Amino acid sequence: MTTALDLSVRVGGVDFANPLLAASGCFGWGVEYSSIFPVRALGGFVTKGLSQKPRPGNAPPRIAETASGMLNSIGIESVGVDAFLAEKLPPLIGCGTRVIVNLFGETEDEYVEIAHRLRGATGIHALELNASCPNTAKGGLEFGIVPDVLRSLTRRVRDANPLPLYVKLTPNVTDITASARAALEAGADAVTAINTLRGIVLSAESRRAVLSTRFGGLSGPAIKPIALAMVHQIRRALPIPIIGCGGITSARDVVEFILAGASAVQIGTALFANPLAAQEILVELPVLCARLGITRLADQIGAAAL
Amino acid sequence: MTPAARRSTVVANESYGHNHFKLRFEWSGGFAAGQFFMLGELAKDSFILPRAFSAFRGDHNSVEVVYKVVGRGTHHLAEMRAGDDLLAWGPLGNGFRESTGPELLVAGGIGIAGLFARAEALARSGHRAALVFGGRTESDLVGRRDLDPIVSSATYFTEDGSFGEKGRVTNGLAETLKRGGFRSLAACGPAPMLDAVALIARDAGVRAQLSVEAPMACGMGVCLGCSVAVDGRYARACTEGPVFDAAYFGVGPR
Repeated sequence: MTTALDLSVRVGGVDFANPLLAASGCFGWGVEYSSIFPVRALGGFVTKGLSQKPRPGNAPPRIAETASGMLNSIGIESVGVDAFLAEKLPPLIGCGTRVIVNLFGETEDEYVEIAHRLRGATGIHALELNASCPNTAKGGLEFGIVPDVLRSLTRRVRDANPLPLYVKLTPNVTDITASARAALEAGADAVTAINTLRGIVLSAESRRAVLSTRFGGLSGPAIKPIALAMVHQIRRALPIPIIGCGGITSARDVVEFILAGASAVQIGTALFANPLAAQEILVELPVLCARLGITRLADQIGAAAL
Repeated sequence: MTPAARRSTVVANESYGHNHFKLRFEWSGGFAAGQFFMLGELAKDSFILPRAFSAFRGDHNSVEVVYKVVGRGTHHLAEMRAGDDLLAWGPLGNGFRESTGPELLVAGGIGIAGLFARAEALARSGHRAALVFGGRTESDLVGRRDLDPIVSSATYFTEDGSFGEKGRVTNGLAETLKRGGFRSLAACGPAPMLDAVALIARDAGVRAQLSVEAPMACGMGVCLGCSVAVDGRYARACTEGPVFDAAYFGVGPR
């Protein structure tokens, strides 16, 4: 006789059928992969960063491969909130999974304006505040590195829209728990940890950075140990749910993040390397849980003896 | 044709000239000329981004890609043997649009991989294209034996003069376009070649379709890594291309 496995998790007031979400910037507007696998298989997904006005993004080259990962500097190429509400959101209503909208602004007012515009919109289950994009001249990361600035921004977005609010944190700080604390104090329902790490890919031949913006954000398996450490640090320091993110490519990685303290996880770069990654992880996860004696995944959050 | 992702199998992976290979993998569903496939997990025990390859030729059960070994991805691909697992997704991209009247194909190096299916499709429709194909040296001009029967004429260039005419594909291109009465042109090759071909075609009043290459992570239109400047904005080479009209090519935002 087999015991029923319960993969459901609850994060900051949102119920997810399973803990696997697609990360912002890695799943478009939720429809691009529809011929590859059904979006409803995912616990949820996070949209591409949504700006108030359309943004063209950075000049190419925007990506470069690295050892065990990649560097990107897309610069939040985005459709703007009008086009999102008119064109991108309607196809997602009733898509069968949780939709989290990632917000990006160059100013505090822009974030607040987007949050306000999304108030009452059907089909959105939570907001994720992008205070951690390392690739824009203004906004993003500059709101995430000083706790007082992050606290103020989070509080204003919190007041502008009653949806559950997740704050995506940057690892490009001395102490990520200070950022998580600011988010918690300002009323965030959860934090996503972590966004990409700042890096450079250099060409010895051209003596230049490969990316047009010199710096980019490092993602992929290369950053997984860093992400796990930061999830653990936040978990130990604060009573706030964590969505783990950084280099997850397998069911084993998912379980590791949950054991370290994540309530759910996001995959990103793994989807680029293999568009079947999410589906394959969801096939693999029950097998792994059975082998590890796990019957209810939510019981394992932070259960590692760290 | 919506893309699918499959764990496929390598049927054959054979030498196709010096440092070039032709790999055939199981695939049903076909593709349109100018489309491409992503091949992934090429390094079995470590993370690697997928690589994009033009669909070279195909039948009901398989697709062929031709590649030159240049870096980590193609190095791993060259080690694959018949029967090996291969993660593939596609067909991706827009492919070439229909042309009216005689067409000139302009290929630079491994860019021939992006034009072969076009040459074959035109030959099948009874309107064989003329080909201008250039490379640094003779060994860059792969597939000549497969090309010669499906084009109306083939002119080869090498920069070192080791085969065909010495020089580049752009040498005398304006004259060729005029003399041949070509109404359209399709090109695939290095970016500087495409820029030069686009200018010549524009001056000659010939409509040109350019198949571009760009660093690409997903192939599905979500990573936004493969953006190219087109028509005053950034367009994704993977889903809005890889074939762009030369008239709008190279013009970025603002």
